[in-house]
Amino acid sequence: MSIPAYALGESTTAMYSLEALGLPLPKAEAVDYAVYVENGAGEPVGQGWLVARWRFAVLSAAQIATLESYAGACGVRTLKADDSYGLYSATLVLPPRVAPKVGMTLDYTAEFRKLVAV
Amino acid sequence: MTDIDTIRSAGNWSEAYVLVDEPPAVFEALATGTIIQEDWSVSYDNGSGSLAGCLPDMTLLIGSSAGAGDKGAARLRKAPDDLGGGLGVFYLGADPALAIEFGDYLTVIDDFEPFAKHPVDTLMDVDVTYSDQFTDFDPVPWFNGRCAVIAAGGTALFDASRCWVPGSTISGLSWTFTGADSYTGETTATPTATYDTSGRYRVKLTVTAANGKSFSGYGYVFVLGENLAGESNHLADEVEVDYMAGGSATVELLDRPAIRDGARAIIYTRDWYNAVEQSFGPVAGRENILLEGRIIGETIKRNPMQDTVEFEIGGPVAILERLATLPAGLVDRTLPTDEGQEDLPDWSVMDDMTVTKGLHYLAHLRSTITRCMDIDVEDWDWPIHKLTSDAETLFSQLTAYAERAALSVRADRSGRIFVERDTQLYPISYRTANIPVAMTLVDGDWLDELTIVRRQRGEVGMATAEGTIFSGGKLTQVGGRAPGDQPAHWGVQEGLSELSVSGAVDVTMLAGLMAGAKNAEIERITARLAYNNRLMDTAPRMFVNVTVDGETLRCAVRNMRMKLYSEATGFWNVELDLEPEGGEWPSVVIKYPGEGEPPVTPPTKPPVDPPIDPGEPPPPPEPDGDTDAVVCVAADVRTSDDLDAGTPTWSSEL
Repeated sequence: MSIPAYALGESTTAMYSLEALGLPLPKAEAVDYAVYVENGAGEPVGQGWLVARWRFAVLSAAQIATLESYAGACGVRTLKADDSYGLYSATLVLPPRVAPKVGMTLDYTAEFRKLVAV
Repeated sequence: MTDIDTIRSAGNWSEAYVLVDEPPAVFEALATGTIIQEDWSVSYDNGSGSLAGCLPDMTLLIGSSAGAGDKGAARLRKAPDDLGGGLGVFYLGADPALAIEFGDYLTVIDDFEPFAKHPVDTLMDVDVTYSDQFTDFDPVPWFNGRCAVIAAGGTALFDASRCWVPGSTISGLSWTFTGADSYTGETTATPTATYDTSGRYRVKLTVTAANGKSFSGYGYVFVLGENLAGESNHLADEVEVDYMAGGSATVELLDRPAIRDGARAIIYTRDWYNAVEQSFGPVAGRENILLEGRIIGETIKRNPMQDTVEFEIGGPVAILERLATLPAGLVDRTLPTDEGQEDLPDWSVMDDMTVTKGLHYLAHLRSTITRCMDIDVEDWDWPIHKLTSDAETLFSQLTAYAERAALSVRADRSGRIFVERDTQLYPISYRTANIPVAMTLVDGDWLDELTIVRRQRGEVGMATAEGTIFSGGKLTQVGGRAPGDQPAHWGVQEGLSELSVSGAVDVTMLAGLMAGAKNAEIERITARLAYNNRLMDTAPRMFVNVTVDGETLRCAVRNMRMKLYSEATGFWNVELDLEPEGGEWPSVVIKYPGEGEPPVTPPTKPPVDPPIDPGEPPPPPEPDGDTDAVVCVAADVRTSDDLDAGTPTWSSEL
């Protein structure tokens, strides 16, 4: 069995594939930086903690509840900038709840901050 | 990757934590009376805990409830007396402000706050008589940072290579790592200790000198984990370290009794570079420490509505500036006493006195800082005839003594004190050979543009350095001026005075270096670094190189400000104020009146008897009846009866 591209867990040692969690595959933003600053050579430098985002076109209330159960410190496997996948400890930050439309929530973005490579 | 390559990699972020030390009680008791000021003792009852664990210079809290320190803090001067049955006597350092009443709670805590010690008559620190303290000096411990903050399972590093003792050499080291799960090199200068369980652990270093003396200092390892953790995100402002004022930071925390005047507080970080947790800094084993210091009591602002408290953490400079002390004076034994003072107490007279010995006196005998803080003194063995200071704080006194050898008292972020000469006051060849370069900044290392302050004209029109050479009980005045014997038409005059030097070459060199530093084209460079880059500090001496207009300038770090770039990023960066090194300007020897003559004997005491009042001058001798005039020529007095004659006839001598 191959390692799933995307996975989520309470820690990096207790991970579940999104399929196992009943979540659809997200459109992932590769691991990026919290801020870009310009250095004295005129080059942008990514600084601050690493950030990854998962965008879901549509999620049910149950699926959101699943994601919310991992809010805060968690483990995540996600896309890297070089198109490979990496395992990180992270802090999962979710958007505030809004009233779902026809029982579904559209354009839902989960953000993983403070990614630390494991 | 090297440290600097890792720092330059993208994605630095950091979390800062504040750890307020809460030392456990070693021994607790109730006061059974007030302080007896004859020997600064206080008796107690209901003692519990480890009396044997009450060590000299430990801190004793005085409180209105168990474990509290709301009525003040004192120092255990020496081990308590055990009278049995929970009764005993504490001996404290003299402090007239101490007010202990019957029933007050006395708690000896596992901490060694710095205190001043005072001489009275022939005694030091209440009851210490002089024996050989100025001939066989105690060695001074050095931990390379008295406090380490590590994670559970981590290893604390120490380095005792800067232990020192005037007039002798270090002959032995012995480390005690109470509570460590394993350790190595306990009799070496570079031991390690590993701690698996979080908590607070004391480390003891006993240093022995070849002169037979030994002395123990103490440090602490804070092991983070379930039993001990700092608090995050409570920095009210940046952490700043200035080369003259030392380190400081203001924080706001939830209020609690441990937040009291003098409590140790450490700001440490967890840093990530390239998505890996690691820290980089100039001190091995202390890379994660932003500031080690103590709470400055007068800055505590309690907010009962929010149950919070805001206070400032001050580094060693701020701590020493708060230690009030009596005037301090030392003379070399070969110096004739002046100002009518005779029979100086033994605590005031040294053989072969040097500035280093004087600084040892202040740091070790007039205070407890060698017990609880690292202090290193650059060893200048030039003889000095007298060291005096009537400054009111220990820091000012240390500075006054240090300035006699053109030294300064500085401290770093790790709580280490260095008494050393500034980079600018060393010849360029010495700087190149001996002063390390922390890093070379290139244009990718700073944000935006450098701020460069250029001098439009020279700042100092004449730099002077004046002092004395002391040899064989005699003083010779020497001085140097730069760039010449006349001031330039611009700038102010600035100088070093009352130096103790080995020869005229020293003062001319210092004058030339001072003129070179104050007249360098670039006065200051401010660089806002693009990374969480803390490879440098304001002490000890080090350079940071910067390339400006194609020229690489070696710069001294004058100020360092570490701050969070923005809350939402976790990105910390560092702002540096750098002073480019100056050149060596020409200088001349000051011609003093009488120069070239043999050295003068220093002034001796004035005569005991006051000069005799000459009163009215004696009346001239009464001339004979026929005498026309009296002519006085020195002591030869004669009279003449025929002054009208062309050639008067003079009498014989009167």
